[in-house]
Amino acid sequence: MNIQEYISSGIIESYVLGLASNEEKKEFEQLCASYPALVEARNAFEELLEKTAVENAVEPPAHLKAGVLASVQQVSPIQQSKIITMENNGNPGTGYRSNLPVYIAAASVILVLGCAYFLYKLYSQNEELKDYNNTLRAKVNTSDSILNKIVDEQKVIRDSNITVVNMVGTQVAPRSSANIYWDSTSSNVYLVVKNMPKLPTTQQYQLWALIEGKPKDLGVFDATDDRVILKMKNTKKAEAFAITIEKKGGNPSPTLEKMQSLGKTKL
Amino acid sequence: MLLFFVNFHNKHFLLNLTAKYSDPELLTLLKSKNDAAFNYLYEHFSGGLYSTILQIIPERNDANKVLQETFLNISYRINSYDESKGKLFTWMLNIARNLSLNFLKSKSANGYSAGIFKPERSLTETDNKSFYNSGLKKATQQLTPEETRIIDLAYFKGYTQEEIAKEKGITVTLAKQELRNALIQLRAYLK
Repeated sequence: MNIQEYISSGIIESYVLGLASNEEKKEFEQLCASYPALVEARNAFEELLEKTAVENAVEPPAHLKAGVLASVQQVSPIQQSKIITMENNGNPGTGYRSNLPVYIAAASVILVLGCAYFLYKLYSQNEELKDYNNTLRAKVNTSDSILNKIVDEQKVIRDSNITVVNMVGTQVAPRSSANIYWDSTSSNVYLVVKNMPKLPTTQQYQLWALIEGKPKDLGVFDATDDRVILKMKNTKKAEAFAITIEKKGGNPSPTLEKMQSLGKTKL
Repeated sequence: MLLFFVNFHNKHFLLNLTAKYSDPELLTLLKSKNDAAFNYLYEHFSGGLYSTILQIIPERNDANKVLQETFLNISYRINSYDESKGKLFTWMLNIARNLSLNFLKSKSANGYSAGIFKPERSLTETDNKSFYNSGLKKATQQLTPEETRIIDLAYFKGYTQEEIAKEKGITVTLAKQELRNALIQLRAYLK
């Protein structure tokens, strides 16, 4: 890199004035670490800028200063009020009148500190509440979308064109049971797992439709799936449905000795 | 109590008499939350920061609020100031400018006095009659109208390079280039 060219490219002015993009900033800071000439040039512009600002200074209203200094001193308000209490106890009664202006001054300093602290608290509390509100809104949105999904699924069950096929366990797995909701007009097939044992992670259940004695793959699923209703692949025809255990991802043809449940359509 | 109060005042008197601190000296004192150092900081830099704030926010009362907020931020964030990245004044100036721009944004977002901050008005009506037309802002007026405009958008209105590109209907690369060229010209007028 030609550092002189870089120095005179306007990047220094852009960086110092806070106008550089994040990428430009990052690059500039990295280059500063390896090119002292760049740092020197940056310093020169910074000094020029400071000089310009100071020469063109506009005196802020005098009343601002006390407030500003009081608010930055709030780091140790507890210490200060401690001192006041001790002095009060030490001089009971004496010089009460002559100290009055001092007390008033002290009280107003404390009041300003208190106000500044209170305002700051209020501000951060407001920010917290805003954050919390956003979190809640996000939760409501997620809940809404889950609810919509459930409502859609419920519609499937109520649809009158649906054939419900009760899948019963075979000898291999007498307790396995599931329901198939098959819409013979739209060919949609939905599966509701009622009781299917968990499988090792290398295996999955696979659903088949039997058409004229031949199996047709309708997709794989896990017993652990937390969805209410699983949408399987479509089939126009089916004399029966069967569930087998296959390797993860499924097989092109069923392993019949591992058939878990079977159900005949009533059509 | 009396002791504390006298002490409080003495510190202020002492400061006005002290010679100029160097950046590192001042920084060490500021980081140890030294009141005297803050007083010094205010005495020496509030005017420079205030004029910059006024260049962005012409309304005096609003600028006052932002100046106070600026010093509060300097106090809170002094430990995050990184000397290797630039001078203390640059850091403070950027805080002042960012707070000013945030103030404008929240004000126009809240809807009140939105009209005041329309670009055309703040450039023409207010610039000619006021004291805040100084420093950087004054220097920009020596530039070509296009250069003045791009610096106004970027520095005094807080447009990002992408937003400038969109506003002017040019590519981001070109916007960046135009901005840099304008800044080089601007610098020449600061000397």
